[in-house]
Amino acid sequence: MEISEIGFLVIILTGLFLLMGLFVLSFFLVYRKNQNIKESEIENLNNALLQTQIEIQEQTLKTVAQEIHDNIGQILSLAKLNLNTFPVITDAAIQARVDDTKHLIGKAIVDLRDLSRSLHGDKINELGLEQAISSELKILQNTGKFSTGLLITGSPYKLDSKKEMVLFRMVQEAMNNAIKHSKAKTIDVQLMYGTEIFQLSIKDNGIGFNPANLLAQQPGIGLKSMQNRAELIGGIFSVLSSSATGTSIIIEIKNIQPAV
Amino acid sequence: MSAAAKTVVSKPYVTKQNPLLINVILDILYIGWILMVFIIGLIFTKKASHFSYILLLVFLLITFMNESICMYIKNKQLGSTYIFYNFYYYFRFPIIGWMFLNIFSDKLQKGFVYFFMLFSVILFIVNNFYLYGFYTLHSNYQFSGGIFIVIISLIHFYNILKNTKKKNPLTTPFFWVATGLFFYFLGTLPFFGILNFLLKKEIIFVSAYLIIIKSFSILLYSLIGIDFYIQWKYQRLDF
Repeated sequence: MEISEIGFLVIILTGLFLLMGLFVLSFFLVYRKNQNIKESEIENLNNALLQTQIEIQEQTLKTVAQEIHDNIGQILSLAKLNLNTFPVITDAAIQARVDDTKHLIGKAIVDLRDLSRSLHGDKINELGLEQAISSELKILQNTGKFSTGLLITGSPYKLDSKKEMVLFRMVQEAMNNAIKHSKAKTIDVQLMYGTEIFQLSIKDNGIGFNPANLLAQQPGIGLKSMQNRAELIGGIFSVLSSSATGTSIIIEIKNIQPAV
Repeated sequence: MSAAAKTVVSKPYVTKQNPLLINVILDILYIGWILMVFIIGLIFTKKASHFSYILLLVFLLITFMNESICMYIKNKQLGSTYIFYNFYYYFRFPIIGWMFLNIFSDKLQKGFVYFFMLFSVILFIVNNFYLYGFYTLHSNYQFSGGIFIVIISLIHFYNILKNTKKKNPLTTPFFWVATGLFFYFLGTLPFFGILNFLLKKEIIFVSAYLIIIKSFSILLYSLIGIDFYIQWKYQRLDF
């Protein structure tokens, strides 16, 4: 009788232990699931925030671009027109100065038009990503301080306009970083149109940096922001950098679906 | 009358007897299951697999060999299998500890595993030479080893909980192994805790309960098999 009770006790204890284990494991799995839901909510919130920031930034840039084009551009055009309507000047020295001024105003109009187009988001829709990037590189090349190149591989297709806009802004950001920090002489952009992967890379031959340090400590430089933007459009952002080879920024979008 | 009845009950378990067919079938099924999981492990463990999976293969191989030898001895009635089980347990708990040692990164957690390994060595000497000897089951070590495995499984769950990079714990390597070990040792703790007492007083219960233990074992080895597959699938191991 006593022995049966012990056996019974063992079975009861085993059952209790297993129930306890089941409870612990269920708690663990439910807790993890809730944690995932919370993380996903935070991620969605961050994405929405980033999206709003991008939209506000685009709107601001659009307004500035419009202002440059419609206001300053018009004033300069008027100034140039006024100079053109000047009566013929007999003094050769004064005529040369007027011609120089006309030339300078003309250059300012062209530069401002380029700047306006560069700032205006609609440029991407009008020109397409390749042309927009090509135009940016041309502006940089025209400064005479940089040598630039654009390489396109695969059969180009149109991406979703939002994706193209984000990618274009990232190219601008990367070029801006290269100009400001890298001491580079050449900047090359490559667009690879694969059947399932689209890849954009911006490479310079500058002094390089430690990407881990920058991503962790100095978000101001724009790398962190670029990483977030890349993630927002479903891309993978990577940075390769060394003092010997310069810096390469690569954005890869897998399972790409060309815009119809 | 009652003394005669006692003799009748205890006699069959003292003298040699043919093992029941059901037990033989269960033993073959159980050992076959271990072999099958070992083969699954061999298929899905690649060069790039975590070192703990290599240890898991060694663990399965030694378990298979030990169980095969013990089944042979038991069926042929060649003697006690306790010595084999005793040595096997002093291998089993430390190798499981070693597997988790390779997974843990926290110093305190590693320290706990090292402590148990040292404890195993001490208990091996004390139990074999001073307390039980070679031919009595070292149930104190089985019990403490069981508690140790339950604790390190819980630590592993806690580590998975902390790791926010892995979204789905079910696809985390070693989750299924830890789950199997957790339930197996949790389920066998009360039994192993008083095993020597039960062997003396309640041999029928022990025989019956061993069927439950083997069912737990089959569950454990099945989960180990799942883990081999999961680590191969989710880590995209090609070589």
